[in-house]
Amino acid sequence: MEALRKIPLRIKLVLGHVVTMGIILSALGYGILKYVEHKLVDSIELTLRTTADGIIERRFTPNPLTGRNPFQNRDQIDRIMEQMLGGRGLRMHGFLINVNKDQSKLSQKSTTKVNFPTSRGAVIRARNGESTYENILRKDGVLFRLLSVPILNAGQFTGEIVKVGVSLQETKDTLKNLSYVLWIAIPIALFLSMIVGYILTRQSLQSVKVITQTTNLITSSDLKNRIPLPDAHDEIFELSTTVNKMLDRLEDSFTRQQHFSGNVSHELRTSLAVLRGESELALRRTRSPEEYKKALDNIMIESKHMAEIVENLLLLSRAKSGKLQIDREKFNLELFIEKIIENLDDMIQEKKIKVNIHVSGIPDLFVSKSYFNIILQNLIMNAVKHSKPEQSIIIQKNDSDKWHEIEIIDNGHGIPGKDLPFIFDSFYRADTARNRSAGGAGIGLSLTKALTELHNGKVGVVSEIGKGSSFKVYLPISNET
Amino acid sequence: MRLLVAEDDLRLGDLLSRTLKEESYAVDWAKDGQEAEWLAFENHYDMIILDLMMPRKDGLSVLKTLRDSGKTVKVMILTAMDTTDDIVKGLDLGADDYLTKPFSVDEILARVRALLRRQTKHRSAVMKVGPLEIDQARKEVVRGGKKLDLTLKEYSLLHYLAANSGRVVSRTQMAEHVWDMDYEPMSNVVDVYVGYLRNKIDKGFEKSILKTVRGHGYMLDA
Repeated sequence: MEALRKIPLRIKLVLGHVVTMGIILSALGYGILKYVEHKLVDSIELTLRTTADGIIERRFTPNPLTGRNPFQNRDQIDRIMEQMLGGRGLRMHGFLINVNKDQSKLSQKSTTKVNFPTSRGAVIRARNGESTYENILRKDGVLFRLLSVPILNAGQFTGEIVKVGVSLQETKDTLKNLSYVLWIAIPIALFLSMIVGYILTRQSLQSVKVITQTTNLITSSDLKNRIPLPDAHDEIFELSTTVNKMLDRLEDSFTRQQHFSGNVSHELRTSLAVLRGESELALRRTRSPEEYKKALDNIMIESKHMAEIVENLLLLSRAKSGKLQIDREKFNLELFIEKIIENLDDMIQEKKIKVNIHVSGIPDLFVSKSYFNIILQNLIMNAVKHSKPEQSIIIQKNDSDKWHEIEIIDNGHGIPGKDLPFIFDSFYRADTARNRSAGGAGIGLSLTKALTELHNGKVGVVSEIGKGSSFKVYLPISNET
Repeated sequence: MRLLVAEDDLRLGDLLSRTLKEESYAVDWAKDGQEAEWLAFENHYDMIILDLMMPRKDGLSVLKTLRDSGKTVKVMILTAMDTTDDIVKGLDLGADDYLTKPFSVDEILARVRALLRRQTKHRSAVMKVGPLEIDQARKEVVRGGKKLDLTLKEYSLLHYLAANSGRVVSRTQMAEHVWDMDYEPMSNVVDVYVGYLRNKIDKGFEKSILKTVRGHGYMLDA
């Protein structure tokens, strides 16, 4: 069985096909032979019957010329047969016997040389008024079909039986020829069908080969290849389209990965360039203490900036892969937000932004305090950054029966519609906002999203240019106490 | 020489400006692609240092626009990307050189010098204009074996004249190439500095090489 499984598909298909065809054709051939045989025998029996009936009819019809019983003449049967069957009558044999008189023959066809004894079974059935069909093997080996028909007079057996018989040799010959033809034709047909079958399977599997070749060309550096689609909408078409779609997804994913890694590169290397540059520049010549101090200050600021980026990136990557441990607790949301506002005080005062907080202090959120801090701080920072001086931002809580919802609304310059689907992507910069000049690196929002989703929540945004934006954080209402 | 630095990172851009200014270049600093492009068309720069990842318009697009409109200014692209794709694209689009971050200050300065050199007939770091020998790396000027002591501005001016030696440069050109955007160029400042320069390089030598071309400007005649 193990070996059977190892046979290649192509060969399996062709062999299976050939074997099945072989069985079918053989069965068909056998059926044809049997059917033809049956039909031939039927035809023979019909002829025998008709002839017998003809003879019986004449039995009681006196010869119109002589007025005597026609069967007195020996050759009467000859004549009847000739009349009925024409030339073929020559090959039929006929008897008229009387079983009551020791089976003495009343009449016999002249060409009949051999005796066909009436079997006991036929006699018994004849007494019951029934005809009998039998196969008789003549001494020389030829098989005959014999019909014995009793002659009845007014329903009573007269004792006379008409026997007609004909050789089955011709039939046998015909059948033999037919079977020879079949013996040759079937193997040829099988052979041809095997060839055709092999070619067809090869063709179908060709499309599979194309798929294999195309997919072989696909490497991580060359994801552009797609499998050519066949014209027919069959299984190959389905397979090809499915694989192509998968490749689209892979390519997309890879591109995103590359962009992300490219962006990370850029951020970190730019920072490194500053660190290195400031140090090198400072060391190029002798400088005043103030200049050295300034250089060191710059280096420190940049190091801090870089550390922040690295920390955020690590956090982002861990949050996305779900590897973060969340230690949940309940806390006073109002105080929590007020603390964030305090942290951002410099930024807020600089623009004289008014902050309106509409949340209750009831501890009903069950989240990680530190991560939630990041989530909210990023959003509030964004709101402040995007607002114009002296505007106000609103932070409010709108719970529904399934979700906690915290909304942060600003009336700043808004986000263009075309950017909205992407703003939560890492490093995405909508051109209107200059995150970098305000200190961010572009991963604030994606971090917010990743951390929210880690808590099984969602983020959403609605924005209109010139009017402002509303960011929402949804967290599932938990049943923890 | 007047340079344009196009870099969106505030600290890096500031660092580059300071570094180049210390090396006697006049530096304008654009913080995004659009500003960079606008400045490149507004003013004549001897070289543009172009960061590839900038908001509003990225470096490669700016470069393409510049080259498509026939600007032949020398461009060095700055990149932090991992792959060579951007470098190849940049060079093919017409950049003259590239530098990856982080870079060493010495390296960037040497490359800037090398690119600027290509516009002149001088082929090494030491420019020879007649009796003058200008070591661009060390910023030392020697005439007749004697080392001349020039201020930064004087050196800049001399460098520009030497790069265009044998040609007349107008006061406008000198103002645009030697002083940066922040300075309001008035022609007598140019004259004043030419006077200072002359004092240092011609006075006391038999042949005057810094010549006044009446009505046109000045020329360093080798």
